[in-house]
Amino acid sequence: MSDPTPAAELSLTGTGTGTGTGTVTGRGLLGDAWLELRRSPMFWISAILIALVLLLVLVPGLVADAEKTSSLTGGCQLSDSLQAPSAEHWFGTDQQGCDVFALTVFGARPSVTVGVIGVVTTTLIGVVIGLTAGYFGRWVDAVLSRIVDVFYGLPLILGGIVLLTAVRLPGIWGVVLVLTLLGWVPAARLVRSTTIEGKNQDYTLAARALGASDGRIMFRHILPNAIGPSIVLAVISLGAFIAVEATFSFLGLGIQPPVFSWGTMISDAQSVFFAAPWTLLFPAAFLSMTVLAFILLGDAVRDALDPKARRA
Amino acid sequence: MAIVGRYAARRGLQFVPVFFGTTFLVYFLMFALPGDPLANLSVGKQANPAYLAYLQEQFNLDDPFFVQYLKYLGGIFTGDLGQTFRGQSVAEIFVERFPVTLKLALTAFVFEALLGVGIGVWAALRKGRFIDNLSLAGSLILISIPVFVLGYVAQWLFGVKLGWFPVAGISAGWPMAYILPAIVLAALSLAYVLRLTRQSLLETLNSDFIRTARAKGLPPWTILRKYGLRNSLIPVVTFLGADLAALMGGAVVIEGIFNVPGIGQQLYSSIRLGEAVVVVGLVTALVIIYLLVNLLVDLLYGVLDPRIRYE
Repeated sequence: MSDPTPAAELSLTGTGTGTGTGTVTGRGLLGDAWLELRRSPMFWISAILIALVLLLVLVPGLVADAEKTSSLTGGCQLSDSLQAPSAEHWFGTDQQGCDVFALTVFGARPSVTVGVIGVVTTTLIGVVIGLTAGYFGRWVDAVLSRIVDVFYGLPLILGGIVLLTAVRLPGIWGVVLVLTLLGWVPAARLVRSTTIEGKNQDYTLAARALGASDGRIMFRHILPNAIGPSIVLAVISLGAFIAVEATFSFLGLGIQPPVFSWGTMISDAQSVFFAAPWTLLFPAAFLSMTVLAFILLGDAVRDALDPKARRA
Repeated sequence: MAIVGRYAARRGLQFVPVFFGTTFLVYFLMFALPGDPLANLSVGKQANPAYLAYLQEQFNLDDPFFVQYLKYLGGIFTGDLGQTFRGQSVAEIFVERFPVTLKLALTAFVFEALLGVGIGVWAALRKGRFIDNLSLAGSLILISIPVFVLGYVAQWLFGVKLGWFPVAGISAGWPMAYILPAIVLAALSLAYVLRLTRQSLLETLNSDFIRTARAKGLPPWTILRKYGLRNSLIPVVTFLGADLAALMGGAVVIEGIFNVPGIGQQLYSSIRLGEAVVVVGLVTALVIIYLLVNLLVDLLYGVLDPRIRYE
């Protein structure tokens, strides 16, 4: 006997319900969304862009030569400093004579890694705090909501500047720490409000009448129905977090040499921008395309999860 | 008026825990995390004993953590935010530089409000047409490009190539020297305001009371002004209010790029010099301003929209 999730139960309209056998063959919330998504051109555009970025993250060596990113291996010659884009150096060279194309390809991994880890941690914290506050209400909600207010009062960039200046934990983990500590607030607010909505639904009442425990109601009934908006927020945040990493690296507080990301490349290119704009524009273009791809994907997923929103 | 007063009192009371909580959070981020705070704060200064002693005294590091925080809080209330390496008071720097940041933020705010709402309304009225698609695509691109990239490109294009605006600095005075940095600072929020205005106005224009007004034969301009805008601008005004404070805090990168001598530029150079005391002092001051402006906007909002007061 399968154990249908509430999401599956809800979408059982019209499709084979298999009542006699006790098995359920509904498509489920995510299955429905997938059918919608497949028809959306925006989804395919963003999916292709993201696939390309993932290729750079996972196997940069396929696309470019790692040696050309460092002077230690002799891949960068100072005599090649600041050359304009050419057949040999597609994106030109930077001040050290390194190939900007190779740097851009290899810079993808730190940028995207920070964003992905940040999204996972903030979503987990947001779900736990939002679900707890929304489900238990009363003083639990009052206390947690005040904590959320306090964190809401501290802008991410300003808080991150203090933390990274004081803690001196530069590099990927410093930025991840900032995102985790200060970036969970929107996720928690969202999950709290969707939880409060779901708590008053009939299916929650039904589950409680059947004697389901708090934990079961929260994770098997409320959360699956509240997860849609959280997925959208997570996807959009991924793009935003990649941009935040670039901002901290730009300020000199993020990723440090010898590791480099799109943010550090842009930061390094500042002083030579007027003379050699390609050193800044190529990593910036990759960064912007990645952020844009995740925003488009988030929009497409939201439309797929909530068909009503599309008509407005 | 009594209701407004009660609303203001309630909102003011809510402000108190947030104020203490947020300043505590800033302090906590600085000192309560693992590692030797002295070593962390004096990076790059070769741990000069005199400077270490100064840090020890400035942050009361000999006291228990909560006493440290209370003394630091006392410092905030008496305007003592610490000193730079050269002995200049951080509070003085703040007072000297804040007007520049305020001017920049307000200029950006005007661009954000006028252009964002204006183009948003235009796009909504021409839904599905060229201008609508152009503004939607344009705002998406603005949201995707990091603000510092936008800053450099604008500086290069309008400052260096075309020569329309000064490349950097504020010697040209207001408004010429402020226009370019203000537009770049406003760009991201402008995109959000545009999309929010468009969405909200489209929803309002679909509602029954607009159809009734049309059926009565009211001129389109009157319908837009008296029924459409009044009902659809509420979420936009909320966003704008909250964003005014964010603009002041968000100027770090822009002031650094355009060499505008405000708080942000000082922060930018202090970060690069490793002057942690200045960084923390200025951020604390900015966060307090951020909280105060948000409180003010909330109070104002309660006056403007009666429904808020009764919630």
